[in-house]
Amino acid sequence: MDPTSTLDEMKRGRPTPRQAAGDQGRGCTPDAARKAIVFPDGLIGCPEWRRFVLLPGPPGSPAMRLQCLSHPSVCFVVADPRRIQPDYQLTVSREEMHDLGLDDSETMILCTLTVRDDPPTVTANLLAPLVVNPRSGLGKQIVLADSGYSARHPLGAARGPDERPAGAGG
Amino acid sequence: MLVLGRKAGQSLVICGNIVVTILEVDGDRVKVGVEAPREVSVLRGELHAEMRDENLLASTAGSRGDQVVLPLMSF
Repeated sequence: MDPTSTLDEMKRGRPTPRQAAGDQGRGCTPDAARKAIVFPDGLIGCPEWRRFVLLPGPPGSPAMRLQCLSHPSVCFVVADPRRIQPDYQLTVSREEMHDLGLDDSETMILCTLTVRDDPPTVTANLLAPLVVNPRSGLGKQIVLADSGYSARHPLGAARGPDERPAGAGG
Repeated sequence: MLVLGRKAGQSLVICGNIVVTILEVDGDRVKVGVEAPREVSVLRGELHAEMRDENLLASTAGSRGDQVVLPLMSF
């Protein structure tokens, strides 16, 4: 899927018939990638950012865009933190997961990626992941206090076999 | 800001179901207990501020030009 056309589609508020038909026909994009994700409490410190849509990254990329529907300038780059740290674990109790309407088998975990300019580095926020129930489309940002995870986990050493040359998205 | 004087052992009740109790006062340190429903998020102020700042910084990453975003997406 071309992220640009999806963004345009979103700004117009409804898909074009061609795009809608294509979505139904192909079925290669997970449902969770298309429907809105609602964070009822917003994100931490940003309670007005509630409704988002997840847009796939370039083919082969482990990252996606998380576009805010109410604030067009708000667009995160997110990835599954287990692609960054394979033993990553949510230190959240079963009761808390239940409160979120989640169980272990269906939880989608995303962490935000940030570009820091000086010096130029990419970091991942492993301390405060976004936890999403793909079935209900509900999400919550939780802080794994006392977990030892960093809010600025450097990705410099994380390049691996998934690395693709820039511009491979066409 | 509502300012209330409290002593150790005394508490505040917020919204009827959040109880903040002053457990201990020792010099410039105050130990506070919070009883709240599980869905109520309780964070130390500085951690909340750090996460807010991190969210604000990260919130523009996906809107930046392809030279920035594409390498970011192929980490």
